[in-house]
Amino acid sequence: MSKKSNYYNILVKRRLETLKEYLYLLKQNKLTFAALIIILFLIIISIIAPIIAPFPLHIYGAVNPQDKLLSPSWTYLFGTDEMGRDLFSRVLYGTRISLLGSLIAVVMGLFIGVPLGLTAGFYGGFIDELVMRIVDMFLSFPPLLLAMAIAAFLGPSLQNAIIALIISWWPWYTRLIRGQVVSIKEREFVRAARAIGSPSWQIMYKHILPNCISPVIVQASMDLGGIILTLAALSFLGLGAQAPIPEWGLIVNTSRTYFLKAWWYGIFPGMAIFIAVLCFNLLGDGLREVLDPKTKKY
Amino acid sequence: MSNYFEIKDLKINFETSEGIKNVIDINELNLHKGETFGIVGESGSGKSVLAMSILRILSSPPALIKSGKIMFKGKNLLGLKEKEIQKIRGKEISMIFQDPRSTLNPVFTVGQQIINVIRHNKFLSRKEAEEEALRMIKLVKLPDAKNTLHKYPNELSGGQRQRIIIAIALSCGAELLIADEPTRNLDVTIQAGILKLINELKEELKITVLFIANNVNLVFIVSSRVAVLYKGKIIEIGTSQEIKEEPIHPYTRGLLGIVSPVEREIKNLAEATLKEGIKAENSICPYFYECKKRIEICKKISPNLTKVNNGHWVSCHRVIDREVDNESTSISH
Repeated sequence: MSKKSNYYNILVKRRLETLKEYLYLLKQNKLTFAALIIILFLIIISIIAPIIAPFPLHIYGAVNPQDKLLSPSWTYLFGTDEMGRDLFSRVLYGTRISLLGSLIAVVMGLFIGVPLGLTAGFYGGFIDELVMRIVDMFLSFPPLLLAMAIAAFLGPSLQNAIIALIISWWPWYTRLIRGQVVSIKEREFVRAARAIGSPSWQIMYKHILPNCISPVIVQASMDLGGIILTLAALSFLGLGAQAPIPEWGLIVNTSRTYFLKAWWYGIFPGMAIFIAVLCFNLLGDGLREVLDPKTKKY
Repeated sequence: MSNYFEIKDLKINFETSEGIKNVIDINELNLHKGETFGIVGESGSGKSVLAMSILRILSSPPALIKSGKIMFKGKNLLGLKEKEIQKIRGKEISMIFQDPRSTLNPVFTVGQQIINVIRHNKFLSRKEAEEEALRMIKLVKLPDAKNTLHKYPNELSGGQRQRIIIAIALSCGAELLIADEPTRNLDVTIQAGILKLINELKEELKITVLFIANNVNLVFIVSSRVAVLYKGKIIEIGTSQEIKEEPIHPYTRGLLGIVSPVEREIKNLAEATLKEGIKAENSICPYFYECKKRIEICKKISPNLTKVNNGHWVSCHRVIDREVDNESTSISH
């Protein structure tokens, strides 16, 4: 072989094979696969939303009073709102906000929660007690309620809503991973790694983490849906995204006044929330089946 | 030579909610450079605890090292800081574990694990580490080294895995190998293969081996000297040949099957305690309850290791009067 060593080529190949196997297993479950396709579709939409939106100006401030509250037509696929803005463009763009918001919240939650849980589980003793009692403190509130309280405290805005979600979500990951770590650190290969002189950080991140990450992946993929819902709920309650931002929850909120006159106003963003959350939950279920050997069906 | 590796007055307790239990109580144990030293004992006799205490990988809330020294090339391993002991682990003293099925990390290929250890300890480039890994796999006599590198542990058999584990353990140039029941859970032919490998590697790499097993015969095959561990105490120590041919302690004789298998009088323990009126648990011979040759003094004083001849020591009261020896003919069947 040339410069790149043969060894690493084969290694990459084996990794790809594993990935292929997972994909194959995901395909076996039709529902999960459909969910995966829809999620990919949503991601693409969220990336190109400003380009494909028929009325890009309507996404934010533009006012178009002569077309207000029109029912769905070929010009306005989802109808218009009380200011004459195209709902289709707004819902499209809302995909970006919801997906990005929940992605940020989950990733940040993982960044805070996973290392803490790992440390707590690995070192045990006082550190464990300290971290887990703090976690218990957070977990003693229902997550939506805690997020509401924090968002209200920080002041209503989209950023603050996301921060509130991060703060109320990380403890779940900490607890989840800590339980895994406690069981895995007693395994023989961890002891063997210590006997060969591996430092603690290497044992934690190279040996323990890869062995306990799959339930976290499943949880995170389900939380992506859950957080979309919670973010919409916060916006609906006026604690999240503010007026011109086309956030799904916010659109549903403003539609309440016109619900009897204009059914399309609330239905379409509501449907968007429903589909996104459903798909992420289905994907989470499917991932669990693939990643957890106990539920493997083949 | 004698102070290459030395254990002195080592006392390890397990402190649990049920009370303090003394699991290791060793006065003296010497390893010579280049020998294979065997430790035999039934399960629960403290063999693994002893092994793990050497590398200080005992989990510390239950286990507590009360006192003692483990000297290795003039350094007291028990007195070292965590950073210093980490430099010894793997590079000077290495260890292989009981169960090859669980000693490898299931999510990485064998190659990744060896290369990771080599790169971390020797600071080699990827390419060099890879070659080193191949060399190690060939050293432990696995055929088709190149393909083996890319296998996950679950794709290998128990014997193959144990060989990989030995390769990893020796990959950083350890000169003392602690083998904690390396052949447990393997079938007999593979056991033989692993033992042969350990013997060959010992010759080839000039390493010292501390071989721990609960099967006496295995230990006799590989080791030149043997210590018998019972309830955390060394009760007999000597060359393999001597212990094989002339075991003195009643327990060792029981292990070797010279006397009929020891009838465990576990239910009689409490009874015996009452009947004999034993007060302080510490001052009796650890083997007292099961010993068929116990005499009055056994429950009063715990025996110390007594020299029988050069290199053969036994801790039994009766050996002092040579009574055990005299009876040996009448008892063996």
